[in-house]
Parts: sequence; C-alpha cells; structure tokens
Amino acid sequence: MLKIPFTLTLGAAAAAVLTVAPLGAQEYRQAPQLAKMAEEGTLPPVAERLPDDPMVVAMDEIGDYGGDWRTAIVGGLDNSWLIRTIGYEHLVRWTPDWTGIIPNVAANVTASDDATEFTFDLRPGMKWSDGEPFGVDDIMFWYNDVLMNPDLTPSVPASFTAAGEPVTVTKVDEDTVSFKFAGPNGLFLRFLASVHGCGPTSYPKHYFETFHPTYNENLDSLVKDEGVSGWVDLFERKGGVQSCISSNPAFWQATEIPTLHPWAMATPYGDSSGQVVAERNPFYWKVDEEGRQLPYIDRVVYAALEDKQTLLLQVLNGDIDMMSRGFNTTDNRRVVVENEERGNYHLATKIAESGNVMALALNLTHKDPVKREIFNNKDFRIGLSHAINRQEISDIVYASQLKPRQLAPLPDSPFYDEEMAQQYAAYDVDKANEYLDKAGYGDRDGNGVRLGPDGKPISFVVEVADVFNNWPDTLELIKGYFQKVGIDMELRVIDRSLLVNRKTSNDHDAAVWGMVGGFDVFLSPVWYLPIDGVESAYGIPWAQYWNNPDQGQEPPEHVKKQFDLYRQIAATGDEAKQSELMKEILAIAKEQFYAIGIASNPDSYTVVKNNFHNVPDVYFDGWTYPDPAPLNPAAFWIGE
Amino acid sequence: MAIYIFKRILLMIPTLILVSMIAFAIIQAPPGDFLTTLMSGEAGETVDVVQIEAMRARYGLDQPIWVQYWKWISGIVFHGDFGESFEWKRPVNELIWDRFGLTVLISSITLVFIWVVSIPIGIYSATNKYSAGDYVFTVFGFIGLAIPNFLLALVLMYISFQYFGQSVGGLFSPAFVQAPWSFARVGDLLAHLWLPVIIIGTAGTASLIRIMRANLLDELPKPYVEAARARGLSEFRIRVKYPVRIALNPLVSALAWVFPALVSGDAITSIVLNLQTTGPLLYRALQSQDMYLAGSLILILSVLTVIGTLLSDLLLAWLDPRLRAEV
Repeated sequence: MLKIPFTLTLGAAAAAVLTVAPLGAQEYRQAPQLAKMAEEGTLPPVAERLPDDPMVVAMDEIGDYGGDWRTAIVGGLDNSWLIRTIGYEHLVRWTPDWTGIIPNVAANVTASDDATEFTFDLRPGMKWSDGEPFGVDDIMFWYNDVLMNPDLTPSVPASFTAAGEPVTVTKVDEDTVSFKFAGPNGLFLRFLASVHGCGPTSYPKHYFETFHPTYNENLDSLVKDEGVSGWVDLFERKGGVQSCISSNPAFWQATEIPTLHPWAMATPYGDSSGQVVAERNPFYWKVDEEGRQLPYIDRVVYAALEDKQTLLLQVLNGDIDMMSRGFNTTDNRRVVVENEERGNYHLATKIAESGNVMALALNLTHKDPVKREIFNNKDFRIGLSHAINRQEISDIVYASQLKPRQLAPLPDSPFYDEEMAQQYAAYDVDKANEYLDKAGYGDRDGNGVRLGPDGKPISFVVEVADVFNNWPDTLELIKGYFQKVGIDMELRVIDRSLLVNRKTSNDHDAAVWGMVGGFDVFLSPVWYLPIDGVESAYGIPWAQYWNNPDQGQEPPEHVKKQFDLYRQIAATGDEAKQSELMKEILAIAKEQFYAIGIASNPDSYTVVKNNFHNVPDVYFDGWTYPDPAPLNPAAFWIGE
Repeated sequence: MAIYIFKRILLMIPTLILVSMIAFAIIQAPPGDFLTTLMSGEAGETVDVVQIEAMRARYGLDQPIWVQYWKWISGIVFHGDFGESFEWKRPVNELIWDRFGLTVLISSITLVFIWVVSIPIGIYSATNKYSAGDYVFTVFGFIGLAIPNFLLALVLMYISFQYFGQSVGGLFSPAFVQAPWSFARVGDLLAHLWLPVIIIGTAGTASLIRIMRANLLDELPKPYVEAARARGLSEFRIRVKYPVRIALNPLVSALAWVFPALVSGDAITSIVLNLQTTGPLLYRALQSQDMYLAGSLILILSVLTVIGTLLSDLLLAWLDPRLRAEV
C-alpha cells in the first residue's frame, strides 16, 4: 500500500503567515509566440504582463514551451472537467499532495488566532487575461454586487457566514483585502482552497458591471435586446453565479470573460463544432523556477464527444494526452493497460478519496413508524451488515480489487480508526442471525421471512441509480445475502434525479449512493453526521433541521451533540482542537453505525502520454480537491 | 383541390395544439425537474437548497403546469421564441439552429443515397426474381435490416481502430475542426461523411429494396402490363412508366416520416459516431429534463411530421390519378 502522508498543517499555518518567496530581480522569459508579439508591439513585454512578484511553481522538471494538450469532454454538463484542468485559480490552493494550503492569487494570507479575520495581500500589477488590472476592486465587486446582492445570491452560502452573519469584506488598501466574520470560521481557508472557493477571483468588474443594475443605467434595454426575462437571467447568461461561478456552463461559453486561468476559452463550450479550445493566457501570473512564464502548453483542446465508448477508443489510440474522467472504470482497466504500448501512454494512479464503493443507508427517519422502529434498531443494522459477503462482492463485481470496510476514514487519513472501519464487516451468517434474533425479530413466517413488530414480514425497497460502480449488480448479490437471514429486500433501479427527489422528500425505505469523506473528513462529513439534505440518506429530515431548525425533524440527542461539535469546529481556528472535535463526531458516528458500507473504492487511473511530463505517478482523486488542478497543469509540458 | 388543401391546413391547427400539449405533458411527466438533475450532480458537488429554490422561482418551475405551458407556447406563437435551455443557458433557437445545417446535410445526403441505391436494386430484384443477383441483394438487404445502425457503427469504429489505427467520430479531422471553410475543408468533410451516410442509410436502403421489390412484383403480372407489352412498347418504357410509378407510392407516403427524420437525425448513431446533430441534443435534453429544449425539439419534429403528411398526400394525389379522383 502506498502511503502518502496526510497531515493537516493548516491550523498551525493559519496562525502564522503563508508566504512563497518571490524570485528576485531575475529576467523573465516567455513562450516564443508571445515573445514575437511583444517584439512586434502587439503585446506588452513579459515583465509588464507579470505581476511584481509572480507566483513561482516548483515542479519535478523544467519544461519546454509548445504543443496542444488533447483531452475530451463527454456529453452535457461536463464542465467539471474544464474546472479540473484549467479552472482552479482561487485566493489560496491545496498543495499538490493535499497536505496543506498555500497562497495562490493572494501572495500572503494572514489569519487571526481566533479564525475570525483573514487578510489577503494580492500581487501588485497582476492582470486579467485581457490585460486589464486585477485587484481589490474586483474582489469588492464580487462581495458587494454578487455575494451581498439578494437577487443574485438569495442566501449567502454557509461557508461565507459565521455566527449567523455573512462575512464582511473590506478593502484595506490597493493590494490588501480583509474578510472579517462575526464569529470564528475555522474551515474558511479550506473552503476557499476547495473547488467551491472560486467566487472572489472570478468576477472581473470591468466585464460584469455592464450587466449589473448598480453600474449600468441602460440595463433594461440590454435585457430587452438579449430577449431574457430579467437582469438576473442576463447576468447568468453572461457567465455569472449559479452557486460557484465555474459550475455555470455559461461561464465557459462566454469567450469574452477575462479570467486568471492559465488558458482562456477561445471557442465556447457547447457550440456545435465538436471541439472546445482554450488558449494560453498571455497575462498568466505564474513562472517556473527559472523565471519562465507559464503555462508551458500552448492550447488545451477538448474533443466534445457524445459517447464514452468513443472516448475509450480515442484513449486506446493515443489521441488523448492526459485524462482521468469518463473512461477510467474498473471494467476498462484491462483494455487500457493492454494498449499502453500502441497508444504510447502510461497510467498514473489516482488514490480514491471516497472511502467506500457503496453506502447503503436505511432511512432512520422513515415516515412509516413500523419501518422506522425496525431501521432504528441498531442490532437489526448490525445483523444485516454481518450478512453481507463483502469478499464475494469484490470477487464477482469488482475483479477482486476491493477490501471490505465500513463507512470510515481511510488508512492514510489522520482520523483512521481500524475498529470503525472494520466493525461488523465480517461475513458471518450465524452472527447475523444472532443479532437479528436479538433485535426482536426471531419469529418467521411460512416463507422463512422474519416478522417485524407489527407481526408482518420485514420487507423493504432499496432505491438505486445506475450511475457509478455497478451498484445494481452489487445489490442483487446483497438481496440474496439478506434472503439467507430471513429479510426480504427488493431493489428498484431509478433515474438519479428521481432518486434525489425521493430522498429529499423522505419517501425512500433505503437508498444507495457513493461515499465521500474518506480523506476530506472536515468538508465532506455527510456520512458521519447528517448535514446534507441530499447525500445523508439515513436522516434527510435531520439534515434539513441542521440547515434550518424550522424545517425537517428534530433529531435525537446524539445527532444534536454532533451538530454542536461541528459548530464548534467552525468556531475555532486551532487545528488540534478541530481534530479533537472531529474525533468526537466520528466516535458518535461509529457508535451509532448510521449506514452500512461495503468495501474500499478501487484506486482509479489517469492516462498520460509518455511525452507528457510533470504528472505525478500517484495522486489523489477528489472533488473538493479537484484533481488534477492542484497538481499545477500550467506546468505540465509536452516533450518530443 | 384548393378547398381540399385549405381544409387540410385548417385541420392541422387543432392537431398541432394537441401535439404541443402532449409534448409538454410528456416532458413534465417524469418526477422532478431540471433542478433535481442539477442537484444530483457530481458526488459532493452540493448545490445550496435556498439557491435552488430561488432558481426554481426564477425559471417559473414552481408554477402550475398550464402556466408554464402558456408561457412556453405563447412565446413560440407570438415571438418565435422557444425559451431558454437550462442546461446550456442559451436560447433554444440558437442551439437548434447551430446544429440544424449539419443535421439536414447528413440526412438529405443519406436520403439521396438510400433512393439512388435502393430503387434500381429493387427494380432489378423484382424483374430478375430468384436470380443469383436477387439472392445476393436479398441477403444483404436482410443483414442491413437486422443489424441496428449503432451496432454497425461500433463495429466499423472498432475495425478502423484495430486495423487502420484511426479514430472514427466527428466529421472533420482535428486539424480542420476550427478551420474556416475552404476546398481542403470540404474535401476533409467528404472524406468523413461517407461513413455516417452508409451507416445511417443501411437499414433504410434494405427496407426500401424490399418494399420496392414486393410492390413491383405485385404490379408486373397485372393485365395492363401485358396490354402495354402487346402494343409493342419497349420493356424499359413499360416498367418505368407504369408499374414502377405505382410501386413508388409507398416511397412517397413514407415522406411524412422522412421530414422529421431529416431534423432528428439518428440519435443513437449520432451519439456513437459523435456527430454534432440535433439527435444527441434531444437525447441529452430528455435525460436532464431540460424541458424547453426537449419540448421545442419534439414540437418541431411533430410539426414536420404533420407537414410531411400533408405534402406526401398531395404528392400522392399528383402521382396517382385514382387518389385524385377520391379527393
């Protein structure tokens, strides 16, 4: 097993000052075509385009300029691959190994000891991709006119609030901005480094003010010309908001939006040409250790495909330079490996962050009091867990690549607890029957099905969407295991949006989904405590209560205790304290055994052409860590 | 005749109104809406509930279905505005128009291909019944009918990958995708176009050959053919002028379906072959419950079917004096 040290250095660092030393008075260099343009006078010289202290990216190899990074996007709503490859430039970022947080757009970050105030020093002289200066005013525009505008942001996201109050952002001076919270917000920098933290650095004021009533008096006629129903629609169509701006497809369609990304869109996402191209941003503000302006690669070319099989064929054929999405399933691994030589590529390993291939959640808040009573009986859940032959599932469905485990932090996580990961995971039919008897359901009907407290056979439906990881196949096996111990389980395969609908309206008996939070315990703890109204399928009404105590159902004491602890985490900036509190939450989760896990997720893989450099052989697979973006794609390069 | 046409057009209006209602109702039938699709995005990619509610109100998705229907249909009728695609954040008109040219190009070339290949072969098969050539065409015809287009596409793609080392998919080489139109680009297009045309056209060609053959076989033994022959007309003239003309009737009545097919393309084959036609667009829109886009596409297809039916009826009347008499 490959070990990657996973330490949470943030708290310690937050109290101190995060800095990356500037390069000093060195000659900066640039890509040949930019040098030519600068010579011809169509572009300012490189030293003027870079900020005074460009960010220095240290990589394994110093690269060469040039080439196209050929990759692909599949189907609609696939803009997350755009985010993952070119769209991750926040105030701070994760380190490539996900061990901490470093400044990014900000040159320095200072956090107060009590985690109420965060001060960001920007890089003087930094520019948007169209050459206009980037500065505090852009961040203030985002704050005053987007985040605090009730039409654009009906409710300020929880991560930008503390003690019930939204953050106050103030311009300290021309290059300094401060975020002040009414109470401690200990997870704030983590949030900013995560994929959701894109807001503050994504709104060029000089572009968006045209579409904002505060700045444009003639907005109404513009709205009319565009044929939209209101200015909010117009703002959205021009690329703004929809939770985080980069998840708005319009953001990737409007090629005229200036960005801070290493490549800027040259053809809009979703046009009918079948190709999406992003071209080098001549004003990109990072350099390598020799002072050469990044990115190395000229263009990122995405083939817009409709079908994953077509993508697989292109991968096998060597037409894809680097990609880790869509085709990289366990099923396809063999054929991808077989064609390594002919496609002239190799595989990099992506360590699964998710922690479990499948989470089976019985609805502990079921509307039917009988089912609710049965599901809340912990012995019943333990019995079911022991009845599952996890090794067989791994052998039959997943080519023996999984290790049985429950929903718990992964071994490389500092929160790893072997007992939590392995409790009730052993396949033992006798023990299963023992627990089910102990639960009080010893009597059986003529078909051998156990009888519930109402004297009727125990039967429930597991709802599943066939989207990832062969879940329906796994459930077919589980159905057989449950039958052996006298429990009647049916599975119903439904569309994923219907599943979401049924979960949010608390209509499900039981549901299956993937697990998150194997590493990112702080930001994705939805399987440890019910705080997500879609994902925490064992207690959706509790999660609704967490979001708003007027809604949902009042949870039991142990859940309230967890809520309280989670609030305390946000209220402290002290890393050791945060970890302590998190451990308490996990201990309750372990004791409560909310949902049943199956086995570790198999590691995923990335295809990398042999001449495509600076991609590590092993890295993390995540979404809050939007791989491969934290690995600095701007410093990937293409050799001979 | 003019009164007949007028009546038919008048009848189209209630038909279309009904069709638009059904189309809209079908789109709305599955539970949830586009925003639930959005919420079920990438694991861990959670969307704020309040944000979702605000979007629902802004898109009007919280209103009763008839209000939504009226908003949609009145926009189309009075302003030619098909609404906005939620998924793409772009006007539906733009999205469809973007892909319209290519779809019509592929479909019409395919149609011409089908007719050019199948009509002569059908005539040959019928006039040379049970000859070696007839058997060969029959075998190919059945194979063409039996293999689904998308499967044929996958097999051909695999073969070209395995033995020729080139990826299939799309209509241009990567170098030409963004290039402006030029002779070289047209050449590149033609080099890629034959494959989808053949794949999409196979089933159509096969079935048309069968139809043509069967119809002609019905006509050939009829007394009027004998009578024409007895009057000394050349064999070619006899066939083309009389039995073939009657045998063409089914082709003309099939026009009603050709029209919508021109626009919808062959969705699954287009997905597999990665053609940027409206087929994949409709497929995606239905999946993500992007209702204005899906509804508008279905409506357009229905309108074309209705127009196609009218046109084919008129053509039939023109072609076949017997039908004209009934009108």
